[in-house]
Amino acid sequence: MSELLELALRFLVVGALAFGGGGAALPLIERLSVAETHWLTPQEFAVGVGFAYATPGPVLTMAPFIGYRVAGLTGAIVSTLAVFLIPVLLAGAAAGLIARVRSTPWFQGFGAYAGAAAIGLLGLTLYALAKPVVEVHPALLLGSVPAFLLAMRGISPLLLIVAGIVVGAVVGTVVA
Amino acid sequence: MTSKAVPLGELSLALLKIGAFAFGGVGSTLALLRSDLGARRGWITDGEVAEALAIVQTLPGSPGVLVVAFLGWKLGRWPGALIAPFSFVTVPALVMIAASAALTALPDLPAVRGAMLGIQIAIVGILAANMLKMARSTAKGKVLITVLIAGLVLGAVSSAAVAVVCLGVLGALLGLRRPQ
Repeated sequence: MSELLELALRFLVVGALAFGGGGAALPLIERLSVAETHWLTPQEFAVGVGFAYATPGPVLTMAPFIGYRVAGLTGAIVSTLAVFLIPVLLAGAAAGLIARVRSTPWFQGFGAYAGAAAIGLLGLTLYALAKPVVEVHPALLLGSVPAFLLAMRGISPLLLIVAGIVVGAVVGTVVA
Repeated sequence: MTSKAVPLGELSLALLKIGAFAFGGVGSTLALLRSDLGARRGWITDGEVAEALAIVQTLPGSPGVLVVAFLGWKLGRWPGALIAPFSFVTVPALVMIAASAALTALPDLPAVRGAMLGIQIAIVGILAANMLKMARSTAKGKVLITVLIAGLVLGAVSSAAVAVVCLGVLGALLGLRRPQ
């Protein structure tokens, strides 16, 4: 299948199933663009997520990040259009006449179960992202514990990522 | 319901600017929408922004983008609904494209490798916290926790899309309401 077509289809799926927002869709993106296609390594994906949190706009800008890597500027445009198309169409329809669809039990039921399933998928993504860290050295994963605790307390992800960059760069230089 | 027709060029430029400063999630996006499209230009009211947010909760996609598309429809029907969100994400997308290019061009220095590892370690912690927070707030009750686990298992043995779609369809058939 042509790369552009595959980008378009995969990101259409991401957008259509992104119940719970971009953050909740991250595991779906990781599965569809890392685990299943190897367009990025897990490390590159994690760095992309870091950038996505640091930059303005929605986290779903992972789409142009990945699309550019796969097929340059054209790939970035295709993946961006694809990831936002279905949400945009649904939101426009919601603003118009088709308000009744989103209040039906079946639509809400779909969203509730799809959202819960996506959270479960995050477990797989966590494993995929943690594995390369453990392969460098298992003790490194302990660094994720303070990150986890601080994130739970509401510390901005951006701050934690910057801390990771600084500490990592310093330790990397010292250890080398 | 607002039925003013806003010139599409102005709408696009306005959202282009808002998107460039939308740091920090849907909260800041909404604040920017209220202050720019609302207070400054008088195109929308605070109430309309709040209404948009409430209505798009059940839809898939980024809440900020959904709200922008919703309001875009109100201000310019379907052309507005398409132009507004894509203008909104243009600058963010360009920044991420630059980041993607930069990633491949980074020198292989110990500091860089260390920094990349540091980001990964931070992200694992952040996503783990995300998972716990989301599980607590949206996967309440034994049924949804079971669905969560089923999602993980199904995703591991087949594909992620299959997992989400199958379980979503199950939810649709059972006709459960999204927990508040």
